[in-house]
Amino acid sequence: MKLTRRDFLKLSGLLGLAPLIGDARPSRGAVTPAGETPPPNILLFVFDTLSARHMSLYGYPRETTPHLTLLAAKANVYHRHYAGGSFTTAGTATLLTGTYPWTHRAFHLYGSVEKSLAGHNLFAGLAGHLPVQTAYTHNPLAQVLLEQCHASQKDLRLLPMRELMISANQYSQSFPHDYEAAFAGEGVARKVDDPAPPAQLLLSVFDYFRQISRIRMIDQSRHDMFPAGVPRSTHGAFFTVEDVVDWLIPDLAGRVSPGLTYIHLYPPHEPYLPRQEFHGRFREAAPPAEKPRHHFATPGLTQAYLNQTRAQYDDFIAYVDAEFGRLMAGLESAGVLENTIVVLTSDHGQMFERGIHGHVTPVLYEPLIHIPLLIWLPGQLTRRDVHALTSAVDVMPTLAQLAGGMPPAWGEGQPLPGPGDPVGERAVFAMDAKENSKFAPLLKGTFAMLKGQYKIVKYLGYDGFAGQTESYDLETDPEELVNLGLGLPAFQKMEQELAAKINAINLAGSG
Amino acid sequence: MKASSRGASGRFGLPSRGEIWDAVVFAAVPVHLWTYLQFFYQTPALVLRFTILDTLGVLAYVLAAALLDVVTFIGGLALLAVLLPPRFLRDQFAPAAVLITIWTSIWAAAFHYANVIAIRLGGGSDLALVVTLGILVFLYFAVALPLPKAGVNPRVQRGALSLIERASFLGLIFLAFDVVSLLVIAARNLI
Repeated sequence: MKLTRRDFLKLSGLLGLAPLIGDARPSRGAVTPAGETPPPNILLFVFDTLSARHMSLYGYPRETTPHLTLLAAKANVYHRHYAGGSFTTAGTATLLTGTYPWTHRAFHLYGSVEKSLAGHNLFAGLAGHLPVQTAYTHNPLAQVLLEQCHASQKDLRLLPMRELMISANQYSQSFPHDYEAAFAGEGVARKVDDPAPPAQLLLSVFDYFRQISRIRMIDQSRHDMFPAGVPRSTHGAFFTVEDVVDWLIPDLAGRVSPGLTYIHLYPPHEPYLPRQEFHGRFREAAPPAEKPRHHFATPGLTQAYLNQTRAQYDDFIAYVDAEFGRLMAGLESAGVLENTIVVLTSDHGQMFERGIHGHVTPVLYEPLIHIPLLIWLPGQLTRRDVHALTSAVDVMPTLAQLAGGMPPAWGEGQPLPGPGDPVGERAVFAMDAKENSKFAPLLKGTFAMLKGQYKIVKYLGYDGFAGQTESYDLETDPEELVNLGLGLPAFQKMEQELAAKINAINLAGSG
Repeated sequence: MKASSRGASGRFGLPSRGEIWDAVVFAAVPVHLWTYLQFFYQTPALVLRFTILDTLGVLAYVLAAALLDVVTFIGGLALLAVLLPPRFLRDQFAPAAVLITIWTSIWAAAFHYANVIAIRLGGGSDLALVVTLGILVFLYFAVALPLPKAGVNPRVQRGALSLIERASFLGLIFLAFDVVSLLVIAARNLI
């Protein structure tokens, strides 16, 4: 189906995006007959582990995202956008399926979407309107999910991870039809970069030394560009954002028919290894005020370490921000932006407070689940700020509508609102349940519910912390320093709603 | 199982097929004991997200890695036997392989834990890691290099052959499961 300019604007109106694109002027593509406007390309760009709370675009005091701030002048900026989970699998599956983790059940590290729901994904949802689909990721956890999408959507061009890597160091990629099990098997056998012993007794010793030599060789080969080391995953793969940007611009410019492109890059996930000009940029920056340690704080983790790693993470964000700026400039020069909707978001955030570093933790504080969302529509000339609560589950229905279709029935989200659009008493959710079986009722995990200015977090089934509740008024206490308990009637109501929601999910699961 | 005839050399200066097979079957035991131990340690985490059938699928990949471990290790020893003068290794391949397998397995297990200990004690410092690895590598070769020579000793030979006979049943079972795991992997990827 081809969209005329009129159709496009009509659709945007349906989406509630009409106020956003009042000045959007989709222009005519080279391959389109005169008088017709091509349907839009969609580029969904995900930076792994990019917390909105660390972006100057969203008010972070360190100037981490000057390029995005500049680019936001022509974008729709969502200020209260939330991930469905706090790590790659849960967050990415929420984005790709438009459902919460309790539905897609991909809430374990390296996990996958419930098999019966594997066909419910972004690519399947948009296939009728955007049949040309491409996906690439650096992150093997996201690759597990993309392989699952690929199994149900054979036309999806899923690039192997090694395609845009300096070195991949992963054998399980040779088994794309059984990638999840192969990857898990390789993980148990090799334990690359994991302190637990590998199940392969002998060759893993050579593997270990080989990995050390690879790291030295690759780091030395690009030492001038990356003085702290070449960006890598915790699975021993090496890559640069530059390589993906350099590939993506001509790839998108060369498209003869509109399509959907999903790019999921590993940075700024740790290890934090920015390019030379960003290395140490925030080393001397004043650290934020220390917050009280949490029950789930890592023993021995000092505030000094958290401050140091926070500065390194911020350096890394500045690097990906600059590369995203280069990507957008390249796409603009190539004329791609004239008919391409660009969406930038993340799968989850990162945390450097309360004695916790990273994102593999049961807590669901703002730095972990508050993620960026920016949408550039073709021809948009002004910035639109949206302050309504939105969730990663909303991205798929929005893109489905922008592509010319209806939101798939299976989604739990709703099309993204425009500024000032009435959103009602809507609640959004995030959860973490890594220690709960995928196949059992949710009895152990953390559940966050946000509604209006309030946030409530419920901890279930944890030894010594079961049944605990945290409640915050994010408007008056955005740093979540004062746990208001259940004193306010609003929190009591939210707790009942959340409990009812979890009960309903568990009942539906057992039925 | 009766140990195969020893001493005769195979083609291309390799040890005899019987000796290589005995070495493979023997090496399968420590390698697989370690593999199963580590796999079962990981199983509680795996069953949280995999069905029993898929967990067995994961095990199939792990066992394939263990088979590769055994074949590569004994293959490497056989190659060394070709490259070195026969009296160093080839003439007493099976007993020497038994001794080297036992030592290498113990050493590799210690290596994996020492590595963990070094990371934890040294706080991930490069120096702690380098020192630990240096000591471990030195220790390995200090013990391993004289082992083939010890295989000449008749008492050692008798002991090694006795070990092969005792371990062969278990080794064969492990190898049989490995073959099944290869079939499982093929089925999961082709069907």
